[in-house]
Amino acid sequence: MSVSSMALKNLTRQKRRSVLLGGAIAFGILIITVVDGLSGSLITSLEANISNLVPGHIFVRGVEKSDKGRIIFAMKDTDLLEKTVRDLKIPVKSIAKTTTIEQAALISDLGTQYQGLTGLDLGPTSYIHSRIVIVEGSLDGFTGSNKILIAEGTAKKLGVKLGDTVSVQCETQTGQQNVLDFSVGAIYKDPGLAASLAGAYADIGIVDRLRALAPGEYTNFGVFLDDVSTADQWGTALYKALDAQKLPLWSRGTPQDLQTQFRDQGWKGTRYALFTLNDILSFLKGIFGALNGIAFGILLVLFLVIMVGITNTYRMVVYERTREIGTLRALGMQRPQIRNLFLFEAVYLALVGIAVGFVVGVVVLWGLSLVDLSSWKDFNVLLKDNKLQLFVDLGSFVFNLVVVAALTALAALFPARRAGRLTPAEALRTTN
Amino acid sequence: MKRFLMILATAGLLGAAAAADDVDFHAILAKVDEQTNFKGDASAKVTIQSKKPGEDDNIMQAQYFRRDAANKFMILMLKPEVNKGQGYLKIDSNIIFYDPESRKFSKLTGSGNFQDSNAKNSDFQASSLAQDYDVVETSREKLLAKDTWVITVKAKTNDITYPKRKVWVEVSTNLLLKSEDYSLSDRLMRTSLYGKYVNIDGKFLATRMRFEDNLKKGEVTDLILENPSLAPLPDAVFTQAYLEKVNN
Repeated sequence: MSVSSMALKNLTRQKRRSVLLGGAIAFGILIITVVDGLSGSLITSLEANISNLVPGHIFVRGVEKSDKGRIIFAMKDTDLLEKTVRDLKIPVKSIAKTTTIEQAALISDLGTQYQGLTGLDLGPTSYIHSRIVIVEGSLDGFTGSNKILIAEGTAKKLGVKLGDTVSVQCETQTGQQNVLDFSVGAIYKDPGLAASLAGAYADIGIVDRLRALAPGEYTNFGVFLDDVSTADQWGTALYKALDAQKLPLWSRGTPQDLQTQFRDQGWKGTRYALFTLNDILSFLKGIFGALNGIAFGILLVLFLVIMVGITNTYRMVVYERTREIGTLRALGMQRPQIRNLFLFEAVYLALVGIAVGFVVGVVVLWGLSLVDLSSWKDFNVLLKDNKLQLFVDLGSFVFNLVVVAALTALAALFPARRAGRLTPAEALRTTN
Repeated sequence: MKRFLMILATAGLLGAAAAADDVDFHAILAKVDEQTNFKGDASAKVTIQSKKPGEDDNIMQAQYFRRDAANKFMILMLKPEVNKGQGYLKIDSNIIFYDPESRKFSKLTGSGNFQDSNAKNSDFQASSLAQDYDVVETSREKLLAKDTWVITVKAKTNDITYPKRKVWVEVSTNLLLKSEDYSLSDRLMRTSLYGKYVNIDGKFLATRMRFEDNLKKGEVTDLILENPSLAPLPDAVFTQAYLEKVNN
């Protein structure tokens, strides 16, 4: 019988002890699997929901400063940008030129809703068609008209239906008050987001008029990539290429960092800011990353405690099996084999515990993913269809598996080496 | 007799029109500014009461400091408790907001609403009608039995909160009694009423103001100024450090 088989058999000899030790390991793995799964689920939903909201994966904005220090976002001639995107052979799904009003007041006779308004081309080739589900009306005839597309939640809050008038109030680029009337042309399904985040859409011409931009101007050049996960890679490549062509650029940063640069630095003319979807989400990703780090730290502390338990247990096991070790040694088993017998036993115990903990963790996550959380209105930006997404990070599982198995083996190493050092005669003399 | 009365009425109207032609309305706007802007410092306690349909009235109190000659003001929120310590500091064309909770300053625009009321941040700054606007149309009418000039003005630059305003100025006092504020698209957005002035050393301070939102039906904000004073204020009041200091 091989050492490995003997180790497996030994595990079943002391079932209660094995179950308790394996259970402790399983519990630790269960906790880390659930925490990893929850944070992964939240960040994945957040990324998907935000990428549905924003007009691109890589963004370039033209920034000017007025004589009175007001920051103005406007750009018109973007041939250089488009040419650079083509020259770099960036795998682009589409390019969107949009004008964004971050906080517009949508006013009806029944109420007011503050939300973003995006002006864009709503024609048949517009990216918007793949982003939203129209539940009432259609986007036909939006181009060049004063029709507005709003979310179901917004329509409900404003008490409006198709054809009703909604006044939109905002500041112009230079700080003047402006208001225009829109007619509700279509209503789209709430994308599992708070209504205030969902945003409204209208033809770019009329939104430019509301923002007092010149015809043909817009505030945002957005690049939709085939693969959103390459946003940082292509964003960096585009930044370097534009910089090489002497386009005046702001340093890379999150939108918040860029706002600080706009405010604090003096400059003239137009300078361009480039950021990616990941820059927008970096703050939130940082929070989730920190949570994962804390969870892993707790796991390590938990396993230090478990390691002490494993060490003590195996000291006891070695003590209990001293005569057995003597017999095995007398029959010709070598010291490393005796040591490995205990190490294998500990590693098998860890692997079983890890497997059980992982499976139970996945079952818990699956159960959580079935819970309807539609009442969590303030947090549904973190949900998909009002539910948690089932997210299992196999990479993280493999990492935890290696770390925990190694820690368990390390915990068992001291008693295992002690067992290996016993001489046959000494072991056989023991009376316990 | 009837013919005589008609001639008299026609002559009266023509006379009024001729008189209006002779009036320098830009000078009237300058007079409005001159009478309501203080050469030295001024301060008062302000109560802001906002009414919105379907919501409880929101009552706020603040201490308001002005230094018109230097184009500065400071507003320090006193009530409600949740807003206590927040501050608005205007220096030149910048309005800075201080939040004691986060201990951070942020930049605001003059066209932003003051504490979610119908008053604008720019309503607290020195009057600059003559500097900001050109006169485009005038008439004369009675407003609540008071003889007023009705002057329609358009902004000289594109960074004035309201691109067009229609102001009612009392003929006898050159005080602003009412203002209709229009958007760039020429929609009436807000009606402002100046109900009461107090005379302090020859200058006038509006102590009762009402701002009615013409877009959001039923939204009204009343501003009441009490305990006005012209006592000189320390320079430190108009600094960011002051806002931090009063919150320590």
